[in-house]
Amino acid sequence: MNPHPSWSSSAEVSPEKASGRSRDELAEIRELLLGPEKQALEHLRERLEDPAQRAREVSGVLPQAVALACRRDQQLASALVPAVESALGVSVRRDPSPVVNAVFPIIGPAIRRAIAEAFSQLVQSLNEALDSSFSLRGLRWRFEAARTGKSFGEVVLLHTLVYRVEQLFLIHRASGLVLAHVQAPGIQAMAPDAVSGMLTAIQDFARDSFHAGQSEFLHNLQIGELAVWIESSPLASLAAVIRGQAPPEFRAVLQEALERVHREHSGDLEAFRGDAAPFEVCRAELEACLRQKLLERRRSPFKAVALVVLVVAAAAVWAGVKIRDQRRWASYVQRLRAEPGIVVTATGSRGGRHYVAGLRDPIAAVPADLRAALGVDPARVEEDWQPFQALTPSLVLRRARSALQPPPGVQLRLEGDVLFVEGLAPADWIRTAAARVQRLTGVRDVDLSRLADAEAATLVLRQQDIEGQQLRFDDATRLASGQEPILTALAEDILALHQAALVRGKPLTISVVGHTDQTGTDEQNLRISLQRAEWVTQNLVARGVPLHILQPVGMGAQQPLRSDLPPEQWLLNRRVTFRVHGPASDSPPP
Amino acid sequence: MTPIQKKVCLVGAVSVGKTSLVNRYVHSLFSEKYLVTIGVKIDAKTLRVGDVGLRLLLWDLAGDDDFQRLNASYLRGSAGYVLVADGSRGHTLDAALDIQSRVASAVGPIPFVLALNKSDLRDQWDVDGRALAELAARGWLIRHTSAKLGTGVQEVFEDLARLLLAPASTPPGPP
Ligand SMILES: Nc1nc2c(ncn2[C@@H]2O[C@H](COP(=O)(O)OP(=O)(O)OP(=O)(O)O)[C@@H](O)[C@H]2O)c(=O)[nH]1
Ligand SMILES: [Mg+2]
Repeated sequence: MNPHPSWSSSAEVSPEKASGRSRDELAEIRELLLGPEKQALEHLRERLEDPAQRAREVSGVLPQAVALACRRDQQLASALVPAVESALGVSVRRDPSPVVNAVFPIIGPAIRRAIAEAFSQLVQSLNEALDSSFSLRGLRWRFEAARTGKSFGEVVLLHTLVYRVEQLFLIHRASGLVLAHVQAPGIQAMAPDAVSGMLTAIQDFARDSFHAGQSEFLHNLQIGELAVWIESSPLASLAAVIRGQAPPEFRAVLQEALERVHREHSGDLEAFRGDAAPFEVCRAELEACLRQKLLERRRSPFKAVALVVLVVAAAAVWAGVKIRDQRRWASYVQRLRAEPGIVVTATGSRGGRHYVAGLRDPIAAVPADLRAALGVDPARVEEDWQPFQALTPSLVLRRARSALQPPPGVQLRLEGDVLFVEGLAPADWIRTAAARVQRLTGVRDVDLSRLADAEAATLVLRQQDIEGQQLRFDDATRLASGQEPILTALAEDILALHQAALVRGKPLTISVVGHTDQTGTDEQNLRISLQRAEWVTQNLVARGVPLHILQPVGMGAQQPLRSDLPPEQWLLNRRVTFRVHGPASDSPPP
Repeated sequence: MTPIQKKVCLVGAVSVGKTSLVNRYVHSLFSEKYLVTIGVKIDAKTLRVGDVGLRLLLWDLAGDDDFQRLNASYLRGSAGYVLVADGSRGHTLDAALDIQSRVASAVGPIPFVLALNKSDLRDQWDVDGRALAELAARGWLIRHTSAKLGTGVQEVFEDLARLLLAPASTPPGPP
């Protein structure tokens, strides 16, 4: 505004002529002189007093004036703040939509930028926080970062993430074309339109494969660490690509977002022919669904303690097993060394396995049996045994025993290098025994002299039995009471002896000798004694004994039991005795 | 400005070169190796027709034969399609005719172009010229292509793109 208006120039440009002296004249003169000024004053007053006029005038210069004031300093701006603030307040109270409409285009990008900034700050601060922390896990993540080319903070974020919605696709259901696509900051999305197509194709495929209706759809896909959650309305689908585990509530978030899009754009959806521009405004809606949640890191010492305990316990168990194993092995080797016929020449362990080598007599104990008895694990043992023959007496004996296979009544004994074979044995075995021990290592000589024919021995015994018996008589040919069983037993013994003699091809005769006491004449006594012998002979034959081996003989009183027997006991001399001639005895029959 | 998107299917008999045409067009690649397409594979390519940007979503469908019929649900929402036949195997053209009528009954009379592929195999050519002339007379757009050499490939997709943008033009094909 020009602060110095000049109206002198206007007086100069309106020259007036003075004429006459009347009041009219004066007035005229005054009119002439001051008329223009008066008019101008009048005009000015009008301008000043009429607000409408003034407003009209100010409006003409206001923009220019505001521009000037702003160029000069901040005064106008700060003066306007309260006014603008309250004006906005009034406006929003009255009807928010104009302000919302006006601000909307800048708000989406502003939010996006804010999120991106906040995110990069988060990554940055994580970077800083973790740069200094130096843990095993940190090292691993650092390595991963170097390997994948991601920043360290990003790797940490991936590992501490509960879930993150990385991408959202708003998809035209019929064609699979993408209507809108948003992605979280730092995500590299590949060809969203092709992905959108694939998601639709997968839906089609799934529906076809399971003959599902058009209204049914695949809600969930899992691809490695990524899940794709899909919500569908008749005209559009909303697919969220999620890393990690999103909470079930997120499903509702998707549904609501899709419902709003559908409500506000159903016309656009129906008319869609490939131009996605009308859906640009949906980006804000989708961006609201780009959520994420980080893991709250609890640093409890429990895990570390548990780990240490576990390691120690494992080490203890390992050591215990190791020690037990070592002990068993040691006692096994000790046992081997003590074992006759086994000579340990080398022992030790290599590559976690024990080994033992040496000489072993094939007749000696079997190492595997010893091992099993001591609980040594055969899988961890290597053995190398060379065969040899040991001269240890116990082994020589064992060898002799296995060569001879002696029957139960025979004992083997080693004295120096002489093998004594003693006892009773069948004649057949005795015959071959000498040949069997001829080439026995450790035996120079074999002594069979104390080896007896077992059957011959029994013959002798039986013969002695028979010869030890006698039958006593009361009368001439009447057995004393209680003698009957002796007669029967005698018959059996004689028959057995007869059988044995037959088998060995030896002759056998038995003299049945009758005796009397000293009373009576010799002639009488001889007759009676013979009668007795014959009576016994007949009775033996009656019990199965062949007659031809029996020889009745009468001795009268010539062979009393005892010569000094008192007369009241002479009765004892009335008897029959037996003499055996044959297999074992060399005494010829009389 | 974001380009207009259009879904385009590639249909035809088995092994006629649908995948090869897409690979040549989108990635400028060709391989003699034959990998059967199972289900569908989707690629995208942006091109300009005049001053309009067009983003083609190419659905390379599994070849159609007696065992595996064309999956109609993959065709839904298509704006057009490339019908592919193998010029060195005459019967694939007959198959293409059959497929065309099935596609038309599934998605209606939308624009398409017939690609007679493997045109590099001149000495094995097995297509009757008169049959082609007849199809052309019906208004079919026919291109000889070789995915191997690259000849005619870009043209097929550009032809189709123009048809897709032509407003309310009556598509070719039998009435
Ligand atoms: N010579 C020659 N060979 C081709 C051409 N196009 C494709 N082929 C070969 O033909 C074979 C089949 O090609 P694909 O592209 O896999 O055929 P497709 O139609 O996709 O087969 P499906 O997916 O099984 O239906 C491959 O060995 C290709 O190398 C071409 O233009 N010329
Ligand atoms: Mg294929």
